[in-house]
Amino acid sequence: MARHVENTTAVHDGLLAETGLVRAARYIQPGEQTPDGRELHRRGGRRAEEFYRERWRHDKIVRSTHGVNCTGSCSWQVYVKDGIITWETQAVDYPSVGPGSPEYEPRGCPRGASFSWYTYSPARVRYPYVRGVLLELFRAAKANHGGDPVAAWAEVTGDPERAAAYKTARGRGGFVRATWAEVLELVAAAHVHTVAAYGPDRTAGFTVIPAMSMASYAAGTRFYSLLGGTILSFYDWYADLPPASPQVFGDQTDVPESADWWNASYLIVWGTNLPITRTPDAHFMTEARYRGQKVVVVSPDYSDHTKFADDWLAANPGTDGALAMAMGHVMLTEFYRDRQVPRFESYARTYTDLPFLVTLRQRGEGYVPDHFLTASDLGPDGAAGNREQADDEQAHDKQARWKTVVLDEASGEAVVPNGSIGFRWGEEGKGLWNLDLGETRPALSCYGRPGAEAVAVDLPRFDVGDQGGGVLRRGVPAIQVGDRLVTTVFDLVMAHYGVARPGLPGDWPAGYDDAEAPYTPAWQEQITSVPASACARVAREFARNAELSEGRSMIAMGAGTNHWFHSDQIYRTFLSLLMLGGCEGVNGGGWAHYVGQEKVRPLTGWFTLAFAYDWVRPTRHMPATPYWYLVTDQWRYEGAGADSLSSPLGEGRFSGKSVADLNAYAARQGWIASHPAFDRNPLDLADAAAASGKGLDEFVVGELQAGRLRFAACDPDDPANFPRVLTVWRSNLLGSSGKGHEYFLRHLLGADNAVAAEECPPGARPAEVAWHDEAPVGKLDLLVDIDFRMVSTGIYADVVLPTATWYEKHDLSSTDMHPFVHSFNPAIAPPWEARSDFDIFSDLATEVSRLAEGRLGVRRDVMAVPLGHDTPDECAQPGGRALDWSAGESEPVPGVTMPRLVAVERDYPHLAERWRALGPLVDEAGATTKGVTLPVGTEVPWLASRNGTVRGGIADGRPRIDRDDLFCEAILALSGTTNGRLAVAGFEALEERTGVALADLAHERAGDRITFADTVTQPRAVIASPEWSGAESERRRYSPFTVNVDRLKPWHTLTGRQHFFLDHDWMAEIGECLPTYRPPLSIAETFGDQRRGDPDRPQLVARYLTPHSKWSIHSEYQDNIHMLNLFRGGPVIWVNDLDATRIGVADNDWIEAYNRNGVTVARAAVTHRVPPGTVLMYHAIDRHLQMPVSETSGLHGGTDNSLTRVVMKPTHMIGGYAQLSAGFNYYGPTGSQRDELAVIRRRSQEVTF
Amino acid sequence: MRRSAARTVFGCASVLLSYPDEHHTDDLTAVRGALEKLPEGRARSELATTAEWLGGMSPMEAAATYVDTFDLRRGVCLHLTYYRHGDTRERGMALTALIDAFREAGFAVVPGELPDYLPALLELAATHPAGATVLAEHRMALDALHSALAKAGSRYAGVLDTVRDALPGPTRKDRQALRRYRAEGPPSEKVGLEPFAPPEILGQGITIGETRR
Repeated sequence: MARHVENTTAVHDGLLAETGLVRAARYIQPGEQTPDGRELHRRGGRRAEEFYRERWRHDKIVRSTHGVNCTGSCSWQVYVKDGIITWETQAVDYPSVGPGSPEYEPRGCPRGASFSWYTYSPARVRYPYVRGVLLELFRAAKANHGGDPVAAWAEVTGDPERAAAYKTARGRGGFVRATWAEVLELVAAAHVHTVAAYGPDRTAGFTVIPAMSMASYAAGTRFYSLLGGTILSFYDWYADLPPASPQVFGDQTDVPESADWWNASYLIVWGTNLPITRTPDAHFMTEARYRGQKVVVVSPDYSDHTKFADDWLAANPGTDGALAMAMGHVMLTEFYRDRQVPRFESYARTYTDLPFLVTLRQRGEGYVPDHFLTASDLGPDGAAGNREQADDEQAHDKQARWKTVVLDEASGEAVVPNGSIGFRWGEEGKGLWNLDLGETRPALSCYGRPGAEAVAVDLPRFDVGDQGGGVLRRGVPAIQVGDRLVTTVFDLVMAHYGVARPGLPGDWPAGYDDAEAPYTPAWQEQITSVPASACARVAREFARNAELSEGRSMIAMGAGTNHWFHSDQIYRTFLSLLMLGGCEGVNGGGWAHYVGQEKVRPLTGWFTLAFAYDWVRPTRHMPATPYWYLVTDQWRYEGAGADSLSSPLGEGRFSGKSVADLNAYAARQGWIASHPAFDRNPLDLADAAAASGKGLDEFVVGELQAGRLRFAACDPDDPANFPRVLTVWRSNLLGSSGKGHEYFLRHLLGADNAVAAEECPPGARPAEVAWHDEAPVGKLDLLVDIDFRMVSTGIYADVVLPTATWYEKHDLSSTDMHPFVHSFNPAIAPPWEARSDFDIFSDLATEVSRLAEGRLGVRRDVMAVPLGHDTPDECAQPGGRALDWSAGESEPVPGVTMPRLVAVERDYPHLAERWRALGPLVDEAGATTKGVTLPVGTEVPWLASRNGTVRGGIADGRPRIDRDDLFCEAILALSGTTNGRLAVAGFEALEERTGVALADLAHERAGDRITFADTVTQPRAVIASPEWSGAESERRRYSPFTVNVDRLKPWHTLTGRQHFFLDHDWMAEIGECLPTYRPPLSIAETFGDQRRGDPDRPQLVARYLTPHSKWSIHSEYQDNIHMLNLFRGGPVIWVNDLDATRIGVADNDWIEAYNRNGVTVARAAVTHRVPPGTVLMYHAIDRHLQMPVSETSGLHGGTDNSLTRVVMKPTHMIGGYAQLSAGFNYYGPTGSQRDELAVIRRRSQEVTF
Repeated sequence: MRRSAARTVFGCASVLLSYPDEHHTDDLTAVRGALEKLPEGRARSELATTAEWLGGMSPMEAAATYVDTFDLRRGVCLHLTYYRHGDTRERGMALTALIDAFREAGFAVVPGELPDYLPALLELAATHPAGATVLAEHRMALDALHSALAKAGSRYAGVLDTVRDALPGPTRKDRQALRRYRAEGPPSEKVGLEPFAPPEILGQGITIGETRR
């Protein structure tokens, strides 16, 4: 024990003791005495203390954050000693938001604070894994083929027996470690083979929420963009995307930062649990109460935010639309009819479509609203008009059919105001795309106008008739413009909401207490259970506050109201309240939709790099919901035809069709992206087109018409159309977001599953989409999961790659909730074999390029690009008419009546070189966001000097972006929010189009540039930029649409205003031209009684809700013992106490929840806080964590999504029509999951895991 | 057990508890060679049996068995500080203490691996006396790992048996800690409640690496 010699006392004592010669310390003493004798210093012997003191001496403190889609985007300080992360603390250096408001600091919650354990946890994925059976097959085949990995992959996947051997092993363990070299070769070989054999669009990448780690997202999507792979959306798939946002605003999820809640004086929290899901931001809400803010909470359960409420409206789940409709009834009655509020009226005239004219069409004995009146309907003198004249007029003004019309209050003339979409594109509209009404004062109503007649209009209602709905007949005042009978949107809204005016025909409510007539407070009470008086009072307060505060009434909304099938209608009813109160575009007012970390502040730079728009444009963006719906064969299990959703006033457009048919229709119309597009390899299609000597358009249209080429959406079960290779990173598809989880297992993967549903019987099958008698299983050849945890996706993957955590890489973070960008930085190098997502895709690109040499070469690739929002293509299909070219209703013209066809070059051997350098396409073309082009080419020289340039090869002299920090630098340099010069240039470009002053919004920071080094130093506040719709500065908090309101800049919609009315044919078909109440889908009606087993066994059929959890963020932290310790430690379903008693369940009993889609197992949390008939299972449960074997299925119970299945809403597929046009994560069918029912029963309390 | 015999046991155990990679066959041959020099007894027979068992599997089987055993289960973890500290922030401190112990002995763990990795500690123990001291410090972890392996019916449990035999027996505190671990699992975070360093560092002022009696 030589170490103890260091201890002088011990040596001394030992010597004395051994010799026994002297008494201890007689003449000498250890240590050094100070002259005054007051202190004695001894050296050594205190190693433990030294060690303890050393503990606080860190080698370094590194700023980073957590990439969890929690919306917090909190900056943290990570402490490192000896290369080990010892702990972390909240960063406290956020820039101030200025006087008069609480600050953003402190930020961070227990979920973030519990993160550092992930670094060293035994649960971490430390090595690359391949399932042994696959690796063995691959190695053997490679040996057979002289070491050719691509031939080996072709052989293994081409042999049904061998393919089945490894596919059926999915989810059954058997992983072995592999070297990076070998695993990358396998994955690259799969890609190269798939590109050659089936087409690049048969590979796909799924990752989510770029704002939570922008470079990590972009690394993979840049790879797939250069490859030609399909890049899947996430926002609509999560059902977090509010389709109402594009429908109403022409914009997707532009919301206030949380500090703007402080500016609200009336706040309704409706379907979002602020203290739980916006933990670091909730203080703005609690603090605002001290300055008099009233907080109203609408929530079916007594949840954590309810306790903050001054008023709690406990509306039944899924009935929020009814409550909001009745509130709208009250607002229209008291603030528009009985009394006029000048500000409300002026807001409505200027910023909404309420004054715009809508034609009325005779239908039976009454009329129905038809379409917006447009300039093409007016004669040359602006008054009379018929079809011939209109066509004639159109020759003069190509955009006439895109210019909507109002009635001038003074003159009574029909006037075409500036700002509609007809002014947005083309030379003529330059300088006129604005909301400046000039001398015109649009009439809100035709009521009482000279020449106005009372016309009975039929309007659909859905509160009756078990989904089928009924018809309300109510009158509007209408006038004749030329040969058209028209009324205003406002008049239609008044009739629809049931606000009676004398002299108008029809059935009107007798008063607020008329429970029979929609949409009164008494009517809603029967549906929502909210007392009529409470509904009327809150509506009145909300509007009165908006009146007195000039719009500072706010509604915070979220998943609770947005995850429903009819969420777009629910949201439209909310947004209507905000528009009627003049609250949008006002600080402290408007919608505040929070579901995920959606806001990539440096949007342009990120988008350009993420989708390789510096090399090739466009890319294969694909809405994920129809993709999964088709590839997992959930479409084979539909319970009802698409016409079950039709309005009683519909024209039968959907009759005899299934939802899959409608998707195929939307795909060929160019409405919605659909990849793979054709049943042929798009590389071969390009070759064939070139060989034919015809133009691409002519060739493809000819092939389609001859039936030699088909859209892949028409036959998803044809092996030619299967997805072959799928990479999932930064997400947990199977454990978290996979609606219809068990269908994924069955059809996509070929694994064990608990699907009990019957496929559609003959007669109920799609009319157009091909039906194969035998549904394919195990469509996918390769599933690659990149993660640092072994989640459900990894369990079922063929290859699992270990990635760096958030403390082991450079990246960028931003959020909707605060105005800062800040960085991730590596506190330590990735331990074990882990590599960052960025490096993994860099290496994969290199390997693909290597294997492409001599196999793929340089090819042309044909892409079918949908008619895009914020591009001139959004004016492709005037009038919102659904005219099917394949049925001869129109001519097939790519880019007009069908998708645009674009052939691009794929340079496969140089894919990696492209991946690593900023390409030349940005130099001249710049980069475009929401229709505004930023001249980012000016930044290339700066970036070249900052990052250095590539030497040699195809990218010689271009700026390097081959390291994550360099990549982040490029994102920041190419975006307006982080580069003042670009913000100003972008605003100037927009000024040219709008003719209104905008650039001054960014002038004060024109010279500012936020570099990556800046974000390492401190979170940095972003610059006002045309990439977003709100002004912001140190004096003003960000709120959306403030630029529109302050500067008269149009919304990106048909009228250029916020929309109440949507006149597309399919909107009319489904009865949703106006905001309305639609109840949750009637699952019981469609699928019948789902109870199984002994009929005497007590079972509960309940509404099954899957809200966000208090103890995790999605699936992240579901495996964290600290978080699990906080509540029950495993899967839990919340059940009402009376319900529980009825089925003999006591608190903490094991129960099973099942339906036709699958099964899950959980403990019961019995509580009166949940209403009867409703159960809650917080998402997202990984199926291997504390999840017992189910007695219903005999398998390990499932995830929360084992009970769900995708149901798509046809109107989400509409495209080619102004704001209803395609855009990635902008518009598309949502993967809603709250309309589902579950059967709950007590199970044997003996569980095995 | 004589010190040289113990070192052989540690060295062989280190190899046997390592992932069976492409050098696996050679490694097993080396183990068999080393075992020749070991006196007859439980250690030799246990390790030889394990080597035979591993050698009897195809490389793929051995690899899959290893991954199933050690890579995917929290309760069967070769990183020893996990058992005492779980996923708490104290684990970072415990790891730096081990780095210190390695440094004292003139060694460092290879980059990318943690200093509490059992095969690394066994390698140290095969080379330097400090290794056995550190292993003995983690007696509870070795016992917990052993029982997890035994409970899973894994043949790897035998390797842990021989390692434990080559170390001093558990102290009263070790036994207490093991009982607590069995009852409660690894500890959970109590940030704010226990603002100090781990007890073995702060508790009795005991030197890192010193054996407590």
